[in-house]
Amino acid sequence: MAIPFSYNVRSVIGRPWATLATAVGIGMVVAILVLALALANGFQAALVETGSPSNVIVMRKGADSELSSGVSREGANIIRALPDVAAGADGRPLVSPEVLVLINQERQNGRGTSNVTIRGVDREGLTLRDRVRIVAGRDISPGAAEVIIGKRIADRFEGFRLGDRVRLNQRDFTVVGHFTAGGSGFESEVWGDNAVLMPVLRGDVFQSVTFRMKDPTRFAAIKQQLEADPRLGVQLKRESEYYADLAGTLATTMRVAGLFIVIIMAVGAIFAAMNTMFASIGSRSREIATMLTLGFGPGAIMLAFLVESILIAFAGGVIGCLLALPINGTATSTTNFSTFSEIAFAFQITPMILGIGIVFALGLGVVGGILPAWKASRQPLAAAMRAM
Amino acid sequence: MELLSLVWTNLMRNKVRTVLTTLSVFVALFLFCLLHGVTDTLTESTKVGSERRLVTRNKLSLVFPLPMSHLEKIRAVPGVSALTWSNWFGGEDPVNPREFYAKFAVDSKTYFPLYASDMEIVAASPAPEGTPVPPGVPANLAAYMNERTACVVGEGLLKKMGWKLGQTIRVNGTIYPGSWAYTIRGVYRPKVKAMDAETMFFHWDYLYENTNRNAMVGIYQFALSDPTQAAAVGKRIDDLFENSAYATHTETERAFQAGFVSMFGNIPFVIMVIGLAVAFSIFLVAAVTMMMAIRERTPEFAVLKTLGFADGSLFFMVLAEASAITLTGGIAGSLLAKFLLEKSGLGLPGFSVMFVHWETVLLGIGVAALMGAFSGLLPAWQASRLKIVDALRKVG
Amino acid sequence: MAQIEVQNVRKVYRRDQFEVPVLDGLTLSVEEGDFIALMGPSGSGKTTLLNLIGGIDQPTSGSITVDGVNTAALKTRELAKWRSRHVGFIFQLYNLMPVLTAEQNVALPLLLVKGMKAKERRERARLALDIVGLGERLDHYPRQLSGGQEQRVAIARAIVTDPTLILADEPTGDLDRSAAGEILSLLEKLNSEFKKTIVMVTHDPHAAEKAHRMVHLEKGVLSANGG
Repeated sequence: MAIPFSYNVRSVIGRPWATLATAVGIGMVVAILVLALALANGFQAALVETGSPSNVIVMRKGADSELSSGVSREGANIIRALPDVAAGADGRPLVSPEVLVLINQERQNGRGTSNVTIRGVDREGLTLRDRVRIVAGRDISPGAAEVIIGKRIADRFEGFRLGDRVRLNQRDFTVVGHFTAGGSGFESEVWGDNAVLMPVLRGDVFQSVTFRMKDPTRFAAIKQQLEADPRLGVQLKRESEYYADLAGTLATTMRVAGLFIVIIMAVGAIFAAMNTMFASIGSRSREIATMLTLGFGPGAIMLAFLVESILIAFAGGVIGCLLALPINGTATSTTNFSTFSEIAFAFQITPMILGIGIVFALGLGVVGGILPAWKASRQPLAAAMRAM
Repeated sequence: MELLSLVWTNLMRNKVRTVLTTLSVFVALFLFCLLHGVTDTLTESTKVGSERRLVTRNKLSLVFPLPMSHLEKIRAVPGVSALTWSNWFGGEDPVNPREFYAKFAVDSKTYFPLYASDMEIVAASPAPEGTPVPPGVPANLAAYMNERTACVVGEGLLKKMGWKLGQTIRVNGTIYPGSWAYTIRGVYRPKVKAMDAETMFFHWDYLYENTNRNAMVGIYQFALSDPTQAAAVGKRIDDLFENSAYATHTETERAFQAGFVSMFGNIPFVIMVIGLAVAFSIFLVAAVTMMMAIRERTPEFAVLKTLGFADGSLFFMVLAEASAITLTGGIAGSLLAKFLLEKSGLGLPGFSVMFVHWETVLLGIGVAALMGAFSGLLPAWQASRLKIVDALRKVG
Repeated sequence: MAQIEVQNVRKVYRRDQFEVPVLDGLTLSVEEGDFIALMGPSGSGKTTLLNLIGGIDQPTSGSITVDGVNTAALKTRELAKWRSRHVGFIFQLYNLMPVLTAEQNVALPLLLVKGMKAKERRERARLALDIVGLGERLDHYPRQLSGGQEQRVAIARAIVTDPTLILADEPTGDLDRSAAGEILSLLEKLNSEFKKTIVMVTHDPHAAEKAHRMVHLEKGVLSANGG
């Protein structure tokens, strides 16, 4: 009882300019949607994958991030002696007390300055973050005034090439290597030996202590025990949870802003799609009247035009995804205001995001097409016949 | 003038199409100007800071403090006048931790005189008659000056948090742990664009005493006795501390604030690109629609020509039609964007006030006019060059 | 009873606030197998009468009975169904779907027949096209056919569901003499060989000659009955 699909397909193709323009218009909206979601996704991925659920990060009670936290040497020692702490291959406890500061560094291409995180780690620090790999140069020699730079920021800032020197409070640190860390936020940091960095930067206080749990399921018990200890005055979080929280605000802001723009664009696209469909239907009133004459019902007419609108929108969705794909993997960076430091991340498009884009396009097709399709189905037969 | 009424009749003939096309243009331009407004605000904020005041911070980054011992040394540098300092407190509101606002511990007796030109105290708790205030401090801050735990808040902040003058507020310290209490003794209103209305200021001494005298200075701020000497004075100060444990970096307040904007990275650029993509795509559809609409009317143009209308007037008519649609949508969209962004609560994090320059609105309207011309030009030219005979043949 | 019984039919159109009476108490009978030419000046209501007979429109008052069914009383949905089974239409401007091939155009009405498979639709369409002499043009699009060929495809479409009644509105109006002649011969064949009842609106005296009788309309009523 339905009007043949080939009729719809060929009618759409038969009006190439209008179809193309509308599809491109819808495509742009879909592309922006996909990219906005990919941006938030990439950002979140960078931060979320930063921590491991088997690691615990200890900070001062009340601090909202490592930056405003402080843990004393005594506190670090107490933690090191805990039975719950896992031991490394060499038998030493896997504990890394760390200092964290920000330095203001010049971006490349004269695009101003931004804050970059410097983290002082113990030997165990590298083992604790098991996705860290040196990809250029070498690791730091213990006790040396050397630093390694995360790959993501190595190319974005001045003075981070191998052999360059970073000056911190009258001491020069040589850049001896670049590292990756599975795409996580650590790739936007500068790492150095704690023993050398601490006296230069912060004196006697660490910002945090990170350790690996022997039995990750005991986290709740460990947390309760340590947080109640009056000598320490600390709060505990799973490392993965800590970084997920940091990502939260900015990722949400990105998604909200992206969605806002997309919705406005979608409204414009819907008007445009409606316009195209009205025009298309207007020029085909004789065809519609003929169909009605032959005995096709208004329902079939409405469905047919709705299908056409959806076809155009689908084409637009595909165009949009194709437009967005080349941007996948492009790195960008911004300041994460939760940590006040620069975080570099990349657009990350997933099949799910592409799927959302297509579904969104189809939605646009339905919303834009429904009114014109309904109007087409209400076309009074006799009136059209008389015009013939 | 009959021509214009013809244009109007034609536009009204297919109301749906005219309205939809105008709406498309409206939305496109609205978004275009909105996004441009974001970029405008960001660039604007790099230009509004004072160039007569300088800021000295730790050379490594803002995260590192400066010692009190720098105070007298900086004061002694020639060219420095009216020196003060402040410290970023951090902290969270215990009731709404997500509702963030800036809090500074300042040396009140020197801070408020230095910034008197930037803010005006519009409300203050009363103090006993004749209570003295330090020179340069607004007289109505007498109560504030004499209370250790008092604070001054921006009127925007007061409204946003639902506070009242005289109320005691609490803050959970993050950098300086503990529960801190403040009493609101003054409300300020910014007098310049560089200042916002959502900051809280309190006494440096309160912070100093409650941190076992360990709190250090965040930044030093001062005015220049000779405004043309900014670079020279800055260099003098930085050279002074170059080899100390706390090297400094001195720059104008404008440069300092611009530094924050540069933290956004190339986001402004991305926004611009999106704005252009948006405008382009929707215009494309509007343009094609208009072109198709006009092409359908070829027979009518032939008839008009038979009646004696000149080629030129047909050209004008078609162009007028296309332009009417795009200009209506364009002007409305641009103006709405300006109005919405500036008057409503929408905003970027950290920017309580947004701007859309008039130049942007004009740009938007210009783009709309251009689009009208572009989509009307080809059909207009075709309409005017039409040979009556050819066109009429299509009618039958 | 005649196949078509038009009884005292009035049709009034509303244009904005004006009422335009087009048919004013018209009565007409058509026997099965008849071939009638409806003639008259512009605005006399011939096309309107055709539309009423064919169930495209319904009268303001009066009755129209075709094959025993009073179409004036049917609801729109039932009317559509009735049309698809009992009537075949032929128009002056052919009204083929430009994006479908000849075969697909002809098969279109068959989509409304419940339970017919694609294979059978194809066979019937081909058969219809053979009858009109266009068996080799199955895959052509309307733009690839001449005016006369297009009209023949339209005729094939009109007969593919094997209706007893064919209604033609100025079928030769847009054709040159020789093409018109072919179409008229075809209509004659459908009437004499296949026993289809044909009601044809026309201006063309040559076309009218092919009919068995002529009916004249003037200002909404029958004027004289031709021989």
